[in-house]
Amino acid sequence: MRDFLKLIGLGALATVLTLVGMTLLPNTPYVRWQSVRTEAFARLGWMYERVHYDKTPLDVAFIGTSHSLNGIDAAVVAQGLAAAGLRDAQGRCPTATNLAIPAYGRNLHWVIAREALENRKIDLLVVEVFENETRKAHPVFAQVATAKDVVTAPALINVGYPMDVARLPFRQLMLAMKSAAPSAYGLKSRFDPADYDGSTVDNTRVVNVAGAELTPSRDITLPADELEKVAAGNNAAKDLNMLPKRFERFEYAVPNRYVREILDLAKAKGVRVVFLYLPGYGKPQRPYDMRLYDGHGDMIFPAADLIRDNSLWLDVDHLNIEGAHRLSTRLPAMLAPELQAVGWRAQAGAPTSSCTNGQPPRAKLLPFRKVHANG
Amino acid sequence: MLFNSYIFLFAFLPIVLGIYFPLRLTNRERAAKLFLIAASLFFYGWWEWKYVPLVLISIGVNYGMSVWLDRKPAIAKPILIATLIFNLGLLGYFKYANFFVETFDALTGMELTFRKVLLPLAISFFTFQQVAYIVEVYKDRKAAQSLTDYGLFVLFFPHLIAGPITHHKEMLPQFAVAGRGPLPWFYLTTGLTILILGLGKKVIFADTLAKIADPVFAAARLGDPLTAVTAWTGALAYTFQLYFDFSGYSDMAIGLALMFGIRMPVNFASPYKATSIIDFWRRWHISLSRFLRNYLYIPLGGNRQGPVRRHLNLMITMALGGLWHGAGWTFLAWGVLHGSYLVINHLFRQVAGKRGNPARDLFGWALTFLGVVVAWVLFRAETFDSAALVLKGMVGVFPADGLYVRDVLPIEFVSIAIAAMVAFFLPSSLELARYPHAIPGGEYEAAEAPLKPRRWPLSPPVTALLLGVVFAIVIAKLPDPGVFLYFNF
Repeated sequence: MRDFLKLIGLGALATVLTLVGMTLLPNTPYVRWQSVRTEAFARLGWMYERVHYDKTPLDVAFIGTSHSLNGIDAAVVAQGLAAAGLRDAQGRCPTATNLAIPAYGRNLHWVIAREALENRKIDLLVVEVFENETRKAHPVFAQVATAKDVVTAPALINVGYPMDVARLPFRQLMLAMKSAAPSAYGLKSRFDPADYDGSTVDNTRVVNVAGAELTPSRDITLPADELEKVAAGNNAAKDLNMLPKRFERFEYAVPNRYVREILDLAKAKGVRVVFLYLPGYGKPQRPYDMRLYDGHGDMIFPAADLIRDNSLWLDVDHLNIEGAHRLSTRLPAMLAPELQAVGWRAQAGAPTSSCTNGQPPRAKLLPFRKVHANG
Repeated sequence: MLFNSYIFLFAFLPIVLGIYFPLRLTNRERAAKLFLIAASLFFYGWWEWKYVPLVLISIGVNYGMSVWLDRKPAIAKPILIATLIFNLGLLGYFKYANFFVETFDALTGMELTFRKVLLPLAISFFTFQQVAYIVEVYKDRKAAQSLTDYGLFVLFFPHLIAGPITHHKEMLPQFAVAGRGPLPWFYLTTGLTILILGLGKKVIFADTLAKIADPVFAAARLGDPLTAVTAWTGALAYTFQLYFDFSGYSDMAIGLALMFGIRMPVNFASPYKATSIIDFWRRWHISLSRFLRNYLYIPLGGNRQGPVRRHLNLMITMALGGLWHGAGWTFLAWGVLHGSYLVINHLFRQVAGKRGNPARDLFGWALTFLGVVVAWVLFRAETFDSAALVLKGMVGVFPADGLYVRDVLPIEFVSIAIAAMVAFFLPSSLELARYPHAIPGGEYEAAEAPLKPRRWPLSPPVTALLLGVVFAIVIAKLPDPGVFLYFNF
């Protein structure tokens, strides 16, 4: 019995020490951001490149979900701002960059915003807002956040927390191996301008990553009756308080914490914030609760009529190409005053011929079907 | 409930061991057995509780019929036939009804409709065990003495879901004394060792290889032609995935059973070291091969009615063995292909003799492995078209355009190479654990499998530390468990 317990104890000790050792293994941030390769989440690798290696200014940055990713062509926004005559003190045209990523989860928005705010000079941070914050953590937060971010995330009413922590040792082991030999895993060890998506990537026509289309053309309109049916079902199923109302701050602890982190960091860096209300089809005209955003920045409502127009939606959550075009062309007029408030000047009739969005996008994308098989 | 899950490893197993051993140590034998049955039903019902009555009915009918058969020799044959119809009827309805209706529709152009039936987990395994039991009772007139022991023989959770397919003659005597008195500690240490090695095979090797194989077969399913490198990568990754997956599961079953004092039959004996296809089938899924030999091949006449009939019997046995794995034409083709291999192997032995030499063994090993890899493509692909795309890719027949171009990553080559070296050159996990040779009463199981127990050079404390490291990697991967391939069969 004693020998048996001694062996079990030794084995358990080895297990614990190995798990701790795995968790402490170092990794390279560039590899960590590239290593998420599932569908459009693979855009994270491009985001890291855009922030760290592409020296094109990052004046306006959009943070949000697939609503923004599929709904905003940042190049159109930048062109609109340039056409409105906006120039900085040196006469440079503004750039706009879409750093949105599919799926809701404010913790990942914070990780992306932090990467951008701490490493680049940003003038305007546009934060997407739904009708209410989601209680859920982002599904890929634990893959791209630092180990410390994962461990120090809110543990209370954060359903993903236990599994995020449980995944950490193996994640760290794999990231350490990938960091040691990135090319063996198909990852880049250093930035290669020839293998870069460009300073501005448009995902309103097709969602694309690393030169490959992930979806067919988004030139699709969901039949109106189907759209209405799904929207009505979603609205009927809406439950803002699963816990008693007095526990609301616990129920929304995860989004509240990370929205505040974003706002605090933006404030510390002197970056102006604008909230962009962009819910799905048939949703309310305003968020249910504005307390989280009040006093931190203006909220703009460019899609107030779009969320009632059933000809502009690919599905109940995403605008189609036409809807995205309308939204993108409206944004410059709403964002221009915000930029002017931070020192950009409007020069009537300023030429736009010299305006660029930095590195050009890839000339050719691998067609959708071939890429789909990769999954 | 998966063996490779937190709920099993850190809740179910400790609780069951924690209740079973006090019952056993206080000689409450019947309570210990009944508790194991209840725990096994909970384990089974965790997946889908509504099929618990089905397995209970199956056990009740088979046990009742066997007792009746034992007591009424005059009507033994009708009882046997009725029980076989019941068992095969259950299997036919739940596993093959959809397949037969779809085939009939395809052949006749009719559109018969049939409500899709969800395949109850483990039905192929618990049905085969009970078919063997009822046939043996018919031969020997010796039914199980106790419904409790019989229930445990069928339900015992380590082997319930995906085998090994146990035989009542080797299991009932063990279950008769299960739950009685103290169990030597080495049952627990050896069982735990085999369980951890099995988990390592599944979680570290099989699940990694699955990520290489799956996209290749997914591309073939979509109709994309494959390059030679891509096709070979997919085929080889699947070849090793299946081995580490299923043999890992069998190891886990053996290790878990041993922790309760029960010896399970050996199911794998380094099959990819086989130097002929006959040798391969003595090493791969041994408990199924034994069942097919005893209850299909031999009743068909075996090798007693001349070479032509022998080869025909082999083909029928292997074809039905293929169909046992799944209700699909590709499984049937896989079985027929292996049947053909076996016939050719037997013919070759008639001409060239059985005695080998190093060169012949090496050639035989290479040819056997190649044949097995080719056959696994049929086993894995969902349609003949997708199997053809993979096989064409492997022989370099593909169009110049429309290719599915997937850059095979260096790490994928390395992963396959490591898996190959482990499968080809290292002793099996059971050989390392000296199972079943080191277990009292394990001589029977040892005689059934070509295993060579190895002398382990490290001390128990160092071994415990090493196993602790393997277990750490296993539990680090548990949040994203892979499914067991043989759960589908």
